[in-house]
Amino acid sequence: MKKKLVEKDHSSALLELRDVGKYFGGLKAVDHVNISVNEGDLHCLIGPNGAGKSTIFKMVMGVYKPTMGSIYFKNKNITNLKSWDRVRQGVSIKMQIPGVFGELTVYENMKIAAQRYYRHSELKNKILEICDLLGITHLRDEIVNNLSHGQQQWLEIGMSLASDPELLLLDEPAAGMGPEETNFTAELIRKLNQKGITILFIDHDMDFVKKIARKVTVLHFGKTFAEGSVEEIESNQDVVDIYLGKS
Amino acid sequence: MTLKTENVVAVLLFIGLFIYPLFVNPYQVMNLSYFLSMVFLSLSLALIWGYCGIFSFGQAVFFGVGGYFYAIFTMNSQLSTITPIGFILGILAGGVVAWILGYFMFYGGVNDVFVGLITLCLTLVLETFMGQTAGSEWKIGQVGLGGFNGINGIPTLQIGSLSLTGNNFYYFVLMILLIVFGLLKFLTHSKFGSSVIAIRENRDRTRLLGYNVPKIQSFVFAIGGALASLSGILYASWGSYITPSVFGLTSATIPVILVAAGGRKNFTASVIFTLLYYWFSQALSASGNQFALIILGLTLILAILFVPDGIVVALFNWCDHLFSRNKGKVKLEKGNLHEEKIS
Repeated sequence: MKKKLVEKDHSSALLELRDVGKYFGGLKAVDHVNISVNEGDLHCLIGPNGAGKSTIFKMVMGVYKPTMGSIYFKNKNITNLKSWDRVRQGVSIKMQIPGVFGELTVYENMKIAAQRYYRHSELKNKILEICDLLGITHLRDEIVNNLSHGQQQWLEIGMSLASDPELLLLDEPAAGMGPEETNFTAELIRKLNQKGITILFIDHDMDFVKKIARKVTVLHFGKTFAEGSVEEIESNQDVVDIYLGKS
Repeated sequence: MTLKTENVVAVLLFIGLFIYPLFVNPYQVMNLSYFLSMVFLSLSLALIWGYCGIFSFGQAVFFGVGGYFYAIFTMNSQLSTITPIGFILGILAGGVVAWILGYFMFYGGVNDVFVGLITLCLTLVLETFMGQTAGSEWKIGQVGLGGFNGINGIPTLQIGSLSLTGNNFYYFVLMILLIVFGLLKFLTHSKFGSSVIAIRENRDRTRLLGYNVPKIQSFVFAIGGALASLSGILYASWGSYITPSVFGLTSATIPVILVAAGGRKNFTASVIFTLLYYWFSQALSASGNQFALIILGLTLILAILFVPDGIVVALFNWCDHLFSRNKGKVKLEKGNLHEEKIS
């Protein structure tokens, strides 16, 4: 039940950050940021380390409370909602460091993630459907600690999908992966987007970003530095200077 | 379905406990009634710590709340038939006190070692407070709290005209233990149990999967409080007395050690190790009860060093491994959600 209701505001964006900031004492991790993610977008946040990308994700998920500004999801102000309420509204996240349950099996991990959203009779099929999509069905009885880093990342994406989210946040989905795994992950993200899931992701690998992103926001020192298509960002001299390099 | 050592041992244990009074004298039955009463205290900690990851010294608080509530409630009534109501209300009192404490801790973001510190402080504060209630002004209704001497002459549980003493009390406690054990097994194998285990494994991730983590933690903590309270009520009814020592450091620590050394993620292990400890402690009582504590402390150190999952659990696993090897099919125990394997 969604008890806490939430002021409405009409806009075409699925997710909207309005003048959002997060200060840790004197450190302005995120400062007056405005970001709009439209329905169906495949939107990427890039920027140097410490630019505030992960902090933004944590604010969207309710892990951090913004120092200023508001966050809107489906035109509802979710700034004061608890994390679990945001997930129930349709936002889901894969964290930078895999938050899988290492001592349990793949199936048990998926079961924990999905059981809240499906009846018992549907649960197994749904889990297997997601595992198939991720290519980890053969690992379903494997203890998660025994999986490779890439497999754990996919499992965590699968767990994020279990709540049937409308918006999926992926914090460095291809971090630590080899070229083959990275290609598979890029393909996976494209597939998910084609299925209608809006995706906002963070990555440092520009080749990976170029493969899939349709819109890119560049953050620098906690502020929005530039925004546009991949081509526009690549041809922006200021972005090249601060982030992409002058080669 | 695989026949696991733990299940076989649990069944044999309960059969053994059921027929035990046929072979021993009433004194030994009375002793085992006491040991069984203390098992609920260990089970309460195994639930909240072993399954939900909430480390608490506070089970002694709820044990004392249950015991004192039962004493005060039943002694203020002149009717011996009121004891079942005192029994039920006492369990609820422990649960409610635990829920209130849990609510403020978990919704306030207090977790991990800080829960242990808060509950330890509460235990010690209650011991100190109850210890200074010797004056005649410290009365609830007609019942004086009695300071360090505590309350004596607590009525024995009575159901209708049946007074629960001797074998009656023994079988009453055993029946409740069977019910509680079954309910705990059911709870931890359910969907709810999976979410509880998820919180133990990774609280932050569980929250981001859509679970209201503080609500689940408060609920589990309340069940743990009710179980500890049940233990306190049975103890008060068994001995007809209760003193502030139930809130003491030793009382607060023993369940932690028993559950840790036996195997905190396993109810059967907690039951077995608790019974063994109290039996051992009683056997050593002629030469000084503190020996049992010293040996228990050493056992814990060795358990943490060599079998961190618990001594009894290690034995279960070893037997499982041995039997599956004998059958020619070594099968690793996977996970601990007890999920059926899919073909």
